Amino acid sequence: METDSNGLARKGRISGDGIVRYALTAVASVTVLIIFFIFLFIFLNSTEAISSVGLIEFLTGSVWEPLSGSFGAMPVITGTVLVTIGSIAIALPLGLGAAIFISEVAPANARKVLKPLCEVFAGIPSVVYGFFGLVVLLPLLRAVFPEQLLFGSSWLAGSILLGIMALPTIISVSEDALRAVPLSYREASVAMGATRWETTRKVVVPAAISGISAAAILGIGRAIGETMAVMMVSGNAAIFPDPLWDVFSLVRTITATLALEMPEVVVGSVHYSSLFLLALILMVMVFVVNYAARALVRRTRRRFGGEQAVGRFSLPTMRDVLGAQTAARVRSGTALTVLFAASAMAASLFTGPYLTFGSAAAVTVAAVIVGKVARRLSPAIRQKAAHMSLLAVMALVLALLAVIIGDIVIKGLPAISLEFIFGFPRDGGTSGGIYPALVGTLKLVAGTALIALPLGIASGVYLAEYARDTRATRIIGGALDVLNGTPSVVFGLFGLVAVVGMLLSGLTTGYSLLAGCITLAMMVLPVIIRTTEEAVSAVPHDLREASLAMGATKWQTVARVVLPAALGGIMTGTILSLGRAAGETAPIMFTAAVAFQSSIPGSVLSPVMALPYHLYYLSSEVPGSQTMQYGTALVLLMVVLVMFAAASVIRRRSEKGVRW
Amino acid sequence: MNNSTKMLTAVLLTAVICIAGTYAVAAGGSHQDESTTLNVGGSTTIQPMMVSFQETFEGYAKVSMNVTSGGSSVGANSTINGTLDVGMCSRDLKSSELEQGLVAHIIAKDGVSVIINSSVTGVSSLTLEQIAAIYSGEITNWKDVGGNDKEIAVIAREDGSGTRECFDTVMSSTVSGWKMKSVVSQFASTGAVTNAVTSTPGAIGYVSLGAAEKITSGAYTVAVDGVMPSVETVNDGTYEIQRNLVLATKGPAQGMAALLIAWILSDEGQKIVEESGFIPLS
Repeated sequence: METDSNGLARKGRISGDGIVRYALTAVASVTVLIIFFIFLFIFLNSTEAISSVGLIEFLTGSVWEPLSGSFGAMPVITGTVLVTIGSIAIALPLGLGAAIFISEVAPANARKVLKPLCEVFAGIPSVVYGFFGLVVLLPLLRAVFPEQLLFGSSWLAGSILLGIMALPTIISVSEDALRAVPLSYREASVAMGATRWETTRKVVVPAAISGISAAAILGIGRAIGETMAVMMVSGNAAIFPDPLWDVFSLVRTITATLALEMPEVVVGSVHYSSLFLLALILMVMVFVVNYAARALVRRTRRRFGGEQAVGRFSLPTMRDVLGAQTAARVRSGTALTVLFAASAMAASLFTGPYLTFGSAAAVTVAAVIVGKVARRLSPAIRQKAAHMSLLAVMALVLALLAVIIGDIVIKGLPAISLEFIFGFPRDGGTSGGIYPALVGTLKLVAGTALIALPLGIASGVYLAEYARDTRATRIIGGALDVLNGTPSVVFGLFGLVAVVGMLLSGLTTGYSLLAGCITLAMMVLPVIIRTTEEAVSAVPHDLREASLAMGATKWQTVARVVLPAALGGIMTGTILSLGRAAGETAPIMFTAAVAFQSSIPGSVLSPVMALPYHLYYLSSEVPGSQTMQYGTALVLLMVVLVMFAAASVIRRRSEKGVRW
Repeated sequence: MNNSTKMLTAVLLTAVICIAGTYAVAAGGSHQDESTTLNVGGSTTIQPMMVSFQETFEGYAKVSMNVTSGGSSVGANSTINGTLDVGMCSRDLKSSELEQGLVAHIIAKDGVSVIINSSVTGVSSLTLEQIAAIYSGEITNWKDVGGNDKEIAVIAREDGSGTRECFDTVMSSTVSGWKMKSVVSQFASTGAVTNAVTSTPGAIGYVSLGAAEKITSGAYTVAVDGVMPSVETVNDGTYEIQRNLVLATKGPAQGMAALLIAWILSDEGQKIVEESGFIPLS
């Protein structure tokens, strides 16, 4: 930019800023177009079912037997709802607790280790989670509940597994949000005599609520859209649990239905279309959850008087209507009622009516007593108790990680050898090595990063800095969140039809690395955009204002002040999404992956072997290859961990720079 | 231009060049010569055997094969629209698929073994009626078929699987009006069912003959109507739960596809069929 003799910026010529704005708008528009096409694809493919079966009939019918012509989706929808509720009930408290521990309680050195450790969860491929579920979780549950569990596979198993899978997203993104709360807030609180715990509870967490809700939404999206793992442990019977809260019952989710039936369905039939209608319903559900979460955030912001506290119309809070004390009483009354109901439901699965009522009453009374006692304790003791609980939560999370990783390492290490890593598979995969799969996965991740990172980060920056908060941008935000909850198998099909079948059909028939990269990039785009947007928004305005006050243009401010400050959060999104890309099977199963290659292909138009697909292939169709499977899982884990480590280092370096 | 703008322009330019370059390399570079590539895909049951074929056939015919999965129907459809040269189907082709020009080539037969978890004792053979009753929910405890007192955990493949279709067809022809009960745990692959049956006490399930033979512990195969599944009993029809494995081409097989199918039907190919656990055509 030109400056006059005093060194001040001159206005009124073609500014770099204009170009930047244009470029970012262009990139964001491309992203919006992609989102639009995916929705269009799903919608168009579901119209046949809407007209043949009828929407009401579809939604309320209670028998899902497509091969006999019954398309009642109620049991499957119920299954999704139940499993998701269960997984959130597990992941949200654990995840938030761990995030608060890392951000507020743990010493600074510990944070350097803990945060990357929690992110390792995200690098474990869903197929491996499925294994872990089958081999460790199900027998464990069968041992603990032998009377209640006939199969082991159950709603409970599905929720536990999904809860664990949603953990890294919730922990990491929440932790970023908590950390982004300015030091001044905490200092002000402590200056008024609050303990650290009181500060955390009443100042830091509410201030970070936007980021925390983003974390929860992303986590829920992850849980709703997960296909492979839930399919392996929830039993897949399209029935209603009886009673409805029987967590030991078999259930079937929408995603499992898609994964189970899509491969064998006749393209263009009513069955095919009804599967897409299921996907559409799933996306509507994700939308509703997201909308509700955002509304909640807006209300919380108003209660605490945050920066963007203005809304056009909003329901009055309970406090406004009833007054603070009554509202508090209503709150605790509701909580106790819920506790009673939940205990009764849980107990009813184990014993008869008298003991059920008795134990539920006992639990509720105990809660009341604990509440009263806790109020008498001094803040210092309460802080100690809170910190101890958080430590316990963190320990539990780490223990889970240790068990899962330990399982992979112990069973996979025997397979590892130079031949395994650098050799080609032989005898159908039961011996030899996995070199082509390793190379294929590395290429897929690199290609996905090349496509998704520029698109995603640019779009995120655009949404956060340049776009005005109009309805259009809010719709885009909503669409992104819905896309995030879309099952991976839907992306795979979109890839097959749109990328392999249409986009690249001029260049090559058949599967290709390029098709796989494009498909994976579309799948991870929402996460990258969202985390970038959150990270950029979290940078305090003071920094921007100071920069502008010194004469920098908007783009200079963004590039030199905001982005470096936000780099940490952006890296988090990158880590989570590339980890997911490396470990996903369904998207590449329909676009890029083959089971065996005798040489490494030279062109991006050839298909590739890939580690997660190889794992899936071995586990599904090659009996007796357990050691090879675990070896493959271990190598995949190593690849992802190296990526994570690199990104973590970048993130830590950037966080050293700006602290506010 | 100042530094930031220069940087941004450079980044954008690089991105554009990368994308254009990829396209250029992809389009003009050393992409796979279509005459020496064979795209085969579809049924996950046939896939491991096809991979075994691939290991020998590639060198024999100097061709590069891509073997993908996705399921029998994906295989058939992708063959119809040209994405694949050969589709693998673990079932006979449907009339709608034949109408769109697909030609079926039967390359092998497959038996479906019924396996039971090792915690069940005293059951070495079941009649088709008993199996049908177990799967429809009429019989719920192993003691009703001569075993120990244990609740039966019924495991099946998903709606639409070739293996399941084969099983269901045999069940329906045994008992009129047969319908599988709803409290059945369903899985998506041979491996998953095997895993489930070997690890769930009291479980019963069905898998491909070859897979059942590879089970070393945790479950065992039962005889059906007194007949144990094997190459002989499938071939002579005494083992009743069986199906065809089919390769589909659009129109009559030509070129490399024809060579592959002919080779599979030869002695060398059929030997690999047997080694893979399927039944060679007699």
